[in-house]
Amino acid sequence: MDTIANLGLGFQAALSFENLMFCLLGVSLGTFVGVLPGIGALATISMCLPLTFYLDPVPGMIMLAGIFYGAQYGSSTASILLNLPGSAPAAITCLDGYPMAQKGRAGVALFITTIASFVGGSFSILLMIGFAPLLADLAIGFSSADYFSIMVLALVAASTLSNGSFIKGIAMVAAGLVLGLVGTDISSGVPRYTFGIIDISDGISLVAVAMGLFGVAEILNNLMQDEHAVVDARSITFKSLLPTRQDMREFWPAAGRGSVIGAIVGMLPGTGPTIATFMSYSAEKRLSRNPGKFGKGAIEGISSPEAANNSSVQAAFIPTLTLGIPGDAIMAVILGGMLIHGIAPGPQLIANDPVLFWGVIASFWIGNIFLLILNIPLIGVWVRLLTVPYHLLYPAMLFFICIGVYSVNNSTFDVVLTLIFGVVGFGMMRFDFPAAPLLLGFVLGPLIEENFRRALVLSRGRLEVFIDRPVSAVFLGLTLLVLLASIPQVRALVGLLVRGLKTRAINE
Amino acid sequence: MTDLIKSRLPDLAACAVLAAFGIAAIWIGAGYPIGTINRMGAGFFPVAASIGVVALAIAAAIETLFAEPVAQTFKFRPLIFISVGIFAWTRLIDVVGLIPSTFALILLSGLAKPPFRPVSLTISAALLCLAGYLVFVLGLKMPLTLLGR
Repeated sequence: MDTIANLGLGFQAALSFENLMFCLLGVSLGTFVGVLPGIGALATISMCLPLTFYLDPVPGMIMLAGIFYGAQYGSSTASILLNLPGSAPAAITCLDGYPMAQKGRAGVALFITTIASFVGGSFSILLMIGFAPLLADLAIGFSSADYFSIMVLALVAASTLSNGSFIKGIAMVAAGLVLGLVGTDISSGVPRYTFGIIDISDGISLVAVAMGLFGVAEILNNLMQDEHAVVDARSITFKSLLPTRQDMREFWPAAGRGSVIGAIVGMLPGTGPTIATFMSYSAEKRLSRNPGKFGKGAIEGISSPEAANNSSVQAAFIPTLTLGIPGDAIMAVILGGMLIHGIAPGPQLIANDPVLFWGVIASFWIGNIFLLILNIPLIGVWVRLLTVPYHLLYPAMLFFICIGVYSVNNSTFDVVLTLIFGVVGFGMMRFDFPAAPLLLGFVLGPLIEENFRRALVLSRGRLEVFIDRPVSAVFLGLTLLVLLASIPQVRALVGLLVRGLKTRAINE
Repeated sequence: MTDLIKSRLPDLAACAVLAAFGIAAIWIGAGYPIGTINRMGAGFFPVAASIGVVALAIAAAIETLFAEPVAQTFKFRPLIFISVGIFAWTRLIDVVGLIPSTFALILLSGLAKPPFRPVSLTISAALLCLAGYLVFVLGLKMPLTLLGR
């Protein structure tokens, strides 16, 4: 079949020496920053984005993607050993992973989370192979109005489904849209919000925004906190990794459910891995015959979220590559990187650039196998990494941020901009204004404006065009639902109704 | 009433900053051609989004009044030394090259977290210069000098 031939093409590309090396580099770097609390995948991807400008698009994308899913493997390590998540999605792994470590089963927890990650990742890669070309075929018929509505859903979902105030989330989306519009207007050539500064006539540098909000701001925030817990570097022996047969019996169904939940959440616009892990954990707890064991070291409590985590990360590539619409802030940065490379992700990508599309997918599998090797036999190396003191780590991170941003345009202006966004981002963290929606809005700003304008040009100014088209209408309807669901009073009302219906059903 | 506002003054100030950003964006955006609904000018979308920013900033301020204020620890030291360190790097890199600017960045930003550790920071700066040279100058052929311009 076609798929087999395409996959062959993909593996041929991914197995070239250069691409293998960049895949290994990406996943190693990803594991490295995943393990370390305080540096996330987003900061690292933005740090490496300038490096990929010196590479061909295929190895560049392979490396950036490798950082993303590699970080998900690594992030559970600190959760288990320190009760401190390596990145946000791994927060839930603390709940049962840390109690396991306290019981002396840290090795088993590390082993299980790695296998769960592999299962989740593989599931979504398979899904991607089967589903992405179909979605792309479907998406060729999408109009500007449809794209506009899908992006609206992505932005609204990203700001409401995260923790905290949804008003602040949407406010950040709007602020991000405005920042994204800085630079020369594509349709009319009018320079907007540039204040005559040449450095921003092509827009504010994505790398500067991302590094400021997620690199510098994070460092500032960490330095304001008091000391972190210190890991005691007990060596994890190979034998301590091996789970019992009972562990594995509990593992498989949970990992399966986690993979499915993660894949669905990952494909939806606006939802990231954090939501996938929270949903799968609560699903496990609700399905369990023995909910009391959760929080005390339940195998299901770490298997399902870790599978969901990796599954959602791989599935997130489906809308990004086939529609050109990123689901969360990290995918937005990867999309931004592709745009800078001159690749426009969208329904035509699979047909126009099959080597890139299938090569990247094939590299996912190779990368996941690298990660198994990196995270099981070599786990001791990563555990020791947790003993590197922060007072040496943060100046080094600042160095890579400075030189990384500088290398994009050889411009110190961009580095100063990064500092400004860092201070602003720190202020946002302090007052609970989330940075991820802002970044998503920033990347989508020009795209959403372009599609909005084009849709209304084509419809001669009729706003009904957004509800006339079925695809657009469905996505706007979903947006409305998401908005309603985020209002606490509406949620309470729905809860009352459901409970009322249940008691009636029981009474009858 | 005064207490209600006083305890939330920092949060309200944050919302005010956001609103000010939105108002400035409306002000400037209104200077671009707005156009019509079927032929939108360069100003239409920025002004619309900025109005959204202002409205949501006001909504967030109102929401703050109903939420519990959170006590925050704040230290000036990290903010000052991180900013000074990065700024020094940007002023030095094009003038004196990679090595001096990196030492300035590492040692200055190292002051952000007491106690100051000059020896380990110096070693770390030297290693970072080497890594920067290998990756960015040798590997990526970036036009950077190590010393001098």
